[in-house]
Amino acid sequence: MPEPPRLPDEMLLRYTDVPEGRIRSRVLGRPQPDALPVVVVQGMAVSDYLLPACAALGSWTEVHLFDVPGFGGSGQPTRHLDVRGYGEALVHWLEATSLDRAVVVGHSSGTQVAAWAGVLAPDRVAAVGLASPTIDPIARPLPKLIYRWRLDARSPSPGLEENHLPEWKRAGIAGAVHLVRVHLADRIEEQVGRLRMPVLVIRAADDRLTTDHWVHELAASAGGDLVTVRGAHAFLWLDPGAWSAPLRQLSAEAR
Amino acid sequence: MPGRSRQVPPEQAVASFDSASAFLLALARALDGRDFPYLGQSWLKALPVRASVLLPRPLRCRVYAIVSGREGIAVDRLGDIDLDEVASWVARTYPDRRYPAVLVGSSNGALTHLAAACGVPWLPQTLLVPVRRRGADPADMLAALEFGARHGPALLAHNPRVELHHMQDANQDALSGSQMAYFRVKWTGLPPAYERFLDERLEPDAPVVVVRDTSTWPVTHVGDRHVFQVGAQGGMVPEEYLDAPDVPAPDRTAAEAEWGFAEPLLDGLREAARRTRHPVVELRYGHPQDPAAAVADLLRSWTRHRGGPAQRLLVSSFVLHDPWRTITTGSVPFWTFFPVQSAARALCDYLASTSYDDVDVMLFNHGVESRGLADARTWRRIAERARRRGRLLGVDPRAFPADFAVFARYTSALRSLPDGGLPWSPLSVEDALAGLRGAEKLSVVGG
Repeated sequence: MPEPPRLPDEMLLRYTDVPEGRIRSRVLGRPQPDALPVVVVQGMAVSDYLLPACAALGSWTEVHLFDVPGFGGSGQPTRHLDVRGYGEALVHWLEATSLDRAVVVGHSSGTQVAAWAGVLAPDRVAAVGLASPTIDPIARPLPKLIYRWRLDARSPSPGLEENHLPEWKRAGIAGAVHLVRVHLADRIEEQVGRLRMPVLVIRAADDRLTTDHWVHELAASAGGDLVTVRGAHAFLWLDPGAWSAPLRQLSAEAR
Repeated sequence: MPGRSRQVPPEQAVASFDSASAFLLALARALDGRDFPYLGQSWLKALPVRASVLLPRPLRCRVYAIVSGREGIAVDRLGDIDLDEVASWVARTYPDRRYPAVLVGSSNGALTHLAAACGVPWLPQTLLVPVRRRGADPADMLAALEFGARHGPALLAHNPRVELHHMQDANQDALSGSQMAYFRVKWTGLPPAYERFLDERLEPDAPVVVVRDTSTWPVTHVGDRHVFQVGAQGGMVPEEYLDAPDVPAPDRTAAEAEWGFAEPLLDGLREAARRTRHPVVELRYGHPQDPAAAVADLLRSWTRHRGGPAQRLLVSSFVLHDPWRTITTGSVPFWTFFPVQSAARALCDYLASTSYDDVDVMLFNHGVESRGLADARTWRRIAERARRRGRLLGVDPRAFPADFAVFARYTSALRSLPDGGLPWSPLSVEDALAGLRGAEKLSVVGG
């Protein structure tokens, strides 16, 4: 039986005001002269589960785990935000924190936000990483998304849902409904096709929310690379280091 | 309290299809980062509007008249309208936060686009109370005057802070005018909700920008705080309206019913601004069409500053506009006050002074070939001045001006425009005012 990962012991907690609200970010690792900083965008309503994976990236660069307004530890949004709006918040946060060039990486629904950031701020976003991107047409509309999410959850991920619980409570039903609605309304394909920086797509072999074909097309539309790793949709929970080497290479490419 | 339970809910007391309420709702949505689909109505209501295209034209127009007339308030409910409550509803419509400025005064679509870019609200001086009047002859001015004289006092008696500009336009409102009377109310004293807005919802030192459309119209005095206006800004000048037979003789000039700023509000506004320590700036112009070119130029340079090419001119028409979608698509708005020849000339002049790769023109449809209307071919010809592509957007030129499906279709047409890929940061109010200073046909006073 796999074991839940160890959460990092130390990190820097930072709050930054942007027009869309107060953003909580958590900083791991240190700036390195030979690597761009990495910004990781949380998944749907949850971000703590990414801490071990951020710590893994922290071994070679400075990593910022970004919570979108209204979720995780960020403040309430100042206006209605759709996925584009979350992308704007991220861009404004990059400006406010003086991150002039960074690799922006999303996991799951965070990939949609990361893709928007790449569209909105091509000067600041040096590369885009999409780990377990969403939403494959196979998981549309909503009933299929829920079915596939639960199907994927059959893969053993001990401790993952317990880790999500406090953040799910914070999001509440209304927050969760909002997130699902705006992410379903958004089509990541449209944004990825417009990205002009290096793009890397990471697919977990057992991800039940995506198909090989769609992920392949997504990467190809941006002229990006596709890497397949082991595990299910939330592969980073049990294998936090799985994305480290491919993202390090992406960072090197973007420098 | 029996009186309270009879009160007309504020959002039902004013017309949703009117310029002021459409600008208010569109702007409130833009300040919340949302677009303005189906003129603020639900998509369910949009379905029959879209289906109206299947009806033969006379029937389509009849249905339009009846549906717009259904919004009318019954005359026996006029005394149950509390316009101070309506002002509270206006203030509540905007997202609850503090703003770096507020516009107060005349309705104007170009300035609605500007307010959205700056992220600031607008508090209207004028709103339309539609009054049910089924089977009326819109050309019978004497009957209209008499209707207003009989029913206006009930509304005025309960609302001492407003004046009533009863407007009757047989040229442009021939369809809805057969079902309802246009009671336009103008606040001459600052309603308490607006005063509270200045007090509680503005950042320190945020300017109060008074929007003063100085356009006037000859009117007939009906009673205390009550005038009757024949015709309206659009395709005809006042003299053309007054030349018709059996038109009540005008005996004074007043602020134009829909767009004009009624001066008496100014004192209360200045006093409230002084008390709440906000500077007052005035934006003055003589016709609703006047600010469009200056706003387009200003927002074009803002869009470029945000990193966009600003090569799409999106021409909005009366209430057919979407401030947020205009921003997210990186388009430059040019608002036309009505699809009439003078507005077409203004657009023509603007495009003679500057050029765009794409020009997309939306057209409001009011159902009748009214005098002064610019036909669809004219608008298309103007759009074709674009360097790459000029077109009518979401409107069927064969059905114009009775293509009511455009009220639903413009939504999908706007949603089909590519996203501009530009993050939104508000245009600062200071930069906006500086950009308007020195613009033609518009003056910025104070600040």
